[in-house]
Amino acid sequence: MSLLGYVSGQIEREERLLEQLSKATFVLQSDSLGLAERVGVTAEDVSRSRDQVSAFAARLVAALARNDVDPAVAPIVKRILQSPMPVSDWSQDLRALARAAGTPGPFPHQVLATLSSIVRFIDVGFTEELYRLYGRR
Amino acid sequence: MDRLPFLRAKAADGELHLKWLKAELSSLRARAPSRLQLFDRLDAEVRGAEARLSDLKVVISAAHPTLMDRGVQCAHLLDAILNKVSVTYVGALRKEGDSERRMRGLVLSASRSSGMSWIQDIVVRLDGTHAVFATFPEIPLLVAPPRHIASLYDMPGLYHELGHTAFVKFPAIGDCMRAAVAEYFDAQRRLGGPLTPGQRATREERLSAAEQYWTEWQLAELFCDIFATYACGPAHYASFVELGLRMPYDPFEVVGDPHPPDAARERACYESLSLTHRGEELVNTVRKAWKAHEGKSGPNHQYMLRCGDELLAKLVGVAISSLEEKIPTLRRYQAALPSVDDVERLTPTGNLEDVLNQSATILFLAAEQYGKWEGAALDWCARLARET
Amino acid sequence: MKRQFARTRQIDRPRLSGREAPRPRLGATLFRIDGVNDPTFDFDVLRVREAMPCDSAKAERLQRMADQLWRRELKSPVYPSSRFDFPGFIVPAGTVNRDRVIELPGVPDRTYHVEVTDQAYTVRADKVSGSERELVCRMIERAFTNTLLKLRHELWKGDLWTLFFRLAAENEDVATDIVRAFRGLRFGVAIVNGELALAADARTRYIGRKSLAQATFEERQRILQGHLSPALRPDERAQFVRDNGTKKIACRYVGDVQQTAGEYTFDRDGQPTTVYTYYRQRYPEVRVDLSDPLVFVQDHRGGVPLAVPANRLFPIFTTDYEAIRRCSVAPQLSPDERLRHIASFLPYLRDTAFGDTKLTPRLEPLVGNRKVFCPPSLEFGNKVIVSPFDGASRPDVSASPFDRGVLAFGGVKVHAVESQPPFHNEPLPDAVLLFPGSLSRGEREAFATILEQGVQKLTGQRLRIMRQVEYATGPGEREGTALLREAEQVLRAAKDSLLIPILWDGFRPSVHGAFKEAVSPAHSQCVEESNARTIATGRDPARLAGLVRNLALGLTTEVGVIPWVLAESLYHDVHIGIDVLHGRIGYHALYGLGGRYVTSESGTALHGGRAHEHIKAPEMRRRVEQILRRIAAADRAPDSLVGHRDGRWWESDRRGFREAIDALQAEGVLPAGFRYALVEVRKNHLPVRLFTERIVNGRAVRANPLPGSYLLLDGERAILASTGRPGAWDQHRGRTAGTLLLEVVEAVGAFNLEEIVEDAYRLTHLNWSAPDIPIAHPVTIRWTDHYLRQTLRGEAVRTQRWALEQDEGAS
Repeated sequence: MSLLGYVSGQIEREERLLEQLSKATFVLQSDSLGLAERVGVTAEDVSRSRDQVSAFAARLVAALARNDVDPAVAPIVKRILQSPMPVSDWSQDLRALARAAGTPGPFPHQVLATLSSIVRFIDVGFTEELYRLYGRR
Repeated sequence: MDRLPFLRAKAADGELHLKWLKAELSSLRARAPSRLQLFDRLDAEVRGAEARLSDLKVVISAAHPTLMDRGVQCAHLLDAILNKVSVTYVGALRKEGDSERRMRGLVLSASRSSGMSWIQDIVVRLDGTHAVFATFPEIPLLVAPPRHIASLYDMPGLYHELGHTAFVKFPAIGDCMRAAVAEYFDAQRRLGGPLTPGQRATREERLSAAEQYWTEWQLAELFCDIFATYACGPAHYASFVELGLRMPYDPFEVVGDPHPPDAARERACYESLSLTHRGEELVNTVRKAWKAHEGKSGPNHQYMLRCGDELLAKLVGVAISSLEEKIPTLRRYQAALPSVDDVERLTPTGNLEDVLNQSATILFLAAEQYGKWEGAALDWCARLARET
Repeated sequence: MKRQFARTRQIDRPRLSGREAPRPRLGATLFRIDGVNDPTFDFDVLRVREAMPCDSAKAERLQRMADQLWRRELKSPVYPSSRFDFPGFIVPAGTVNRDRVIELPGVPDRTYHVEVTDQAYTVRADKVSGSERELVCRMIERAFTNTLLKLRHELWKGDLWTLFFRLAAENEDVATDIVRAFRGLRFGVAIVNGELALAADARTRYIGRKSLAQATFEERQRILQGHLSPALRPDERAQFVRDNGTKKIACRYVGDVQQTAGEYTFDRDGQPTTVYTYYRQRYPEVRVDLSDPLVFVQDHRGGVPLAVPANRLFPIFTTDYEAIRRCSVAPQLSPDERLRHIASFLPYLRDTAFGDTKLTPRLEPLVGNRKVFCPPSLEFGNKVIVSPFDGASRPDVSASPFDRGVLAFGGVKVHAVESQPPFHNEPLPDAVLLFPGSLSRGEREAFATILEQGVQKLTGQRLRIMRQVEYATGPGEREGTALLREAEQVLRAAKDSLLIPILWDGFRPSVHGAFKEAVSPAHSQCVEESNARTIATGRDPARLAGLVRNLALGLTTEVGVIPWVLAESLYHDVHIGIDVLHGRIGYHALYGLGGRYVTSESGTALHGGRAHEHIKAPEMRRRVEQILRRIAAADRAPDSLVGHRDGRWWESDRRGFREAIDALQAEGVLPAGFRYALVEVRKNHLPVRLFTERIVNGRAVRANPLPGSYLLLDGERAILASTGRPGAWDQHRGRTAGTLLLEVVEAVGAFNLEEIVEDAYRLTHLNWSAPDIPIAHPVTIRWTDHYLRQTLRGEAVRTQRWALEQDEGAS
């Protein structure tokens, strides 16, 4: 019996989450930088991305406030807790992110930076799992 | 922007890799045109990889520092898909020979007879210890030892691996088990009697640590033991105990991997047997041996906090209820085991679970007849594989 | 007129008619007082002239002032009163001259002036409660005291105004008894359902035959260490009696006088007088010589030291002195003997002058229908329920099968504990055994094996003794330093270990508490070396099984195993027990079905470096809020609560409680209709015993009360007997069960006193550490008290001696 069963099953879920949020971040960043047309981002893409980001930020805020954590966000919560910034600051920034996503108008730079940090956490976790599964030199 | 050359290189290589992959898949599909679901799925993954490559190219052309992270993430996503498809599936499919196909046929027949309705196809590699890639739960890649070509020994372990596909396919099962853990520890917190505030605080720390032990990973592994026993009955129980008895370490210790302690797994397997099966001679014989093994060490405090009998029974109950609710097609193995009174006359019959249970009965209760038995059983299994 | 009453005179019992009462009845050592024609009592009101700080210590301050007024200034009962909007006291009318102003020293250099106001008022005995009730009772007690004081050729007063002993010892002629036993009467006055009654109980005082002057050096070191030790403060030392013939005065040794009776002089009425001369004049019948050595004594805490002849000092011993166990006069009495003894004193009180009337207590005790609670059903593991009776067939409380079932319930519990899994089987931590070298290897191994078997039998778990560590013993190790050092090392290496120290027989008593305190919060279960040896050698087979079982229970419940819980609901959702000891406060709250869940808190009542009995309102509020929030979050919001306090609910305690409830209601944590009652639970209270009376062959026979018997004194107070062994304790040299007094001092919302008392009784059935031995207190008090005493055992031992000397002979 090996470890592959669980990890291989989980990585698919993480892959979907990473793609969704990474894409949403790209869309919102492009829109904020005025590059939307150049990179082929439509208004519909922006609206959909705002919704996804808003929902995810709210989910993370709830997870940080509770003790029992949804396994889908558990790795992100773990990295947040290990980061130098206090949890209260993270909660504040995530709430600001959720608010900005629900408010028309450009995203403030600081809010996008928060979103990027979260997506980077997801990416780091995903890549670790990926190479645990497939090995590396 | 320093990462831009890396991203460009990734895009160039990705282009080539995808081209090769599409050609490989096309060739493999031609060799097994009936395996539509498998190749359709792999083609869909390739399309996903193409989309990621396209996104990567957009980032490269935008060449803006803020967007570089997205490029890196696209590269990782591309890698993931390519690994999944080429390293895992294509690698296995290229090496697929008669033995692998026979094994595939046998496992598919078992999945159908036991009601694993979500499984559409299986890819098999006969070059390692039992493992599964459950990335696509409907089309798992099973790894098994080459010995399975000529032996039924340890074969019930495959059911544990198939359990991972169920855990991925039906995430609500994990949710229920997680809720059961929380409920159990909440109830434990209220108990303990008239402890001093300091003692209660220490107890709270210990209980929290014990609760945190049960991550989704541990729950998944325990679920797979439950699933395997549910589907394969005493054969899986005996197979697990036999595996555990081979291990030199204390069965109550966590030995550094995400599997729960062997004692907890044995308990879960035992609790997953039907009441009738618990009374079978095979089960009693095997259990006695296990209890003797446990008796050499005995449960330690950490084990009892983490893996109390009440918690394990609760998890088994919740897992089985979830199986019955979420996978109503899944059949619980409940057939009576053969008697060994007239063992020479016994012939293999039924589906793979039946054969494995018959085998386990003869192996542990009339081992001297096992050699003769296994030959006939393997022939029967070959027939089952052909009929799929 | 000199009254002559034979000490053991048989009082004529009433010959009852041939129609005998078929039911057992409940009696109490309460005797109606005849002669009270006018039930009204007049009070004067005193006030403190100066403004006083209005803080949490106010009530305690006023109580101290009341005590000073009572004992020093007025020699008459004084109670603080909250009836007025000024700091005031109530006294019997006419106690203080209207012109008199009393000066009382305050802290640090304040003087308060107390004067009589014109706020006199009258109360009725059948309608009083609280301090007014107490004042009425004290007024009548004083009258009885005055009557007995006149009998100085027959009785001598103990250290309480309501405690008198016969002048002649019961065993005067028994030369083999090295202590003399004096039988006496402790009395009080109570108002029972509006009527005045004398509460009375027997007391026995044991005084050494040898005086201090006669004691050898070895006796001073060994037997009189508690009386003389310089390591103890004078008020912590055991008492002597200063035997001046007809006058015997309790006192405590302060120090030696380096002069003799003929040399030392003191000022008497302005004239220097020697002790010798004083005795010749004052107590001519007492033999004192010029050369007699003197010692200094104090008659009360803080009193002026007096020089007295050492040959007039005789040590008072408490019942833990081994010689008393061998004495021909047993300290305990069966109910029948007790009542006869009390009855022999009652005639002394006949025609006691009180105002214009004469009071006489009746000779027959109060007897009425028996009220007794049924023991609760208990739940063990696997939901096994154990009851004293089958649910469908509970006999009538007056029928013999009922008594049999109740008395057999202890045995039923023992059987269940040994045959059923515990309600909650907490995992046992790995254990470390610490042992003295005086225990041989064979004894130690046998003890460990037997203990493991005992634990296995109760829980099914294996007790893993991972290490055995020897600690040093010897003359320099009486304080247990080596033991503590080893324990600390063990915990440094493995902080979750369960420590099992076998306490060397040579340790001081304080080592037990010091150990628990030092290793806390780690779990530990101490065993006396002598008990470990008894277990290991099986020397006392009759005791062995119970000893092992109760030790295993102690150990397993210490780490959190719950052998059983109550299977039935209590009437109230939450019970909180609160106790204070040496400035430390313990709170234990029980909630859930039958109080099966427990949560606790601890706090401090140290203010300004001094330990107080009252709890500051903010401290009480915080703890009660924390507890109730925790309960509401873990279980559900409770609807009702009963608070048990071992002793008095001070005003600041009550205020803190009220504020906590109000705050939680405002937040919505508690419902708007939340009810609570605050109950004082006292083991030391009125000298009242309960007993069962049956008519046998036309004769009233008195026996121990059935555990669970209770008597309602009025709407707020009840007496409960939760312990006792009818039958076994009713023989000659038997004993009588003690009682608790429960008094509801504050209630918000509707409450039924019987339900409050029944809940308290049911909560005595969580006697996990010894299921065959009923306990007196509900576990709300018992566990809290145990927690405080375990960690303050040294001070507690000294305090306990003082408390015993105040009220000797209980049970």
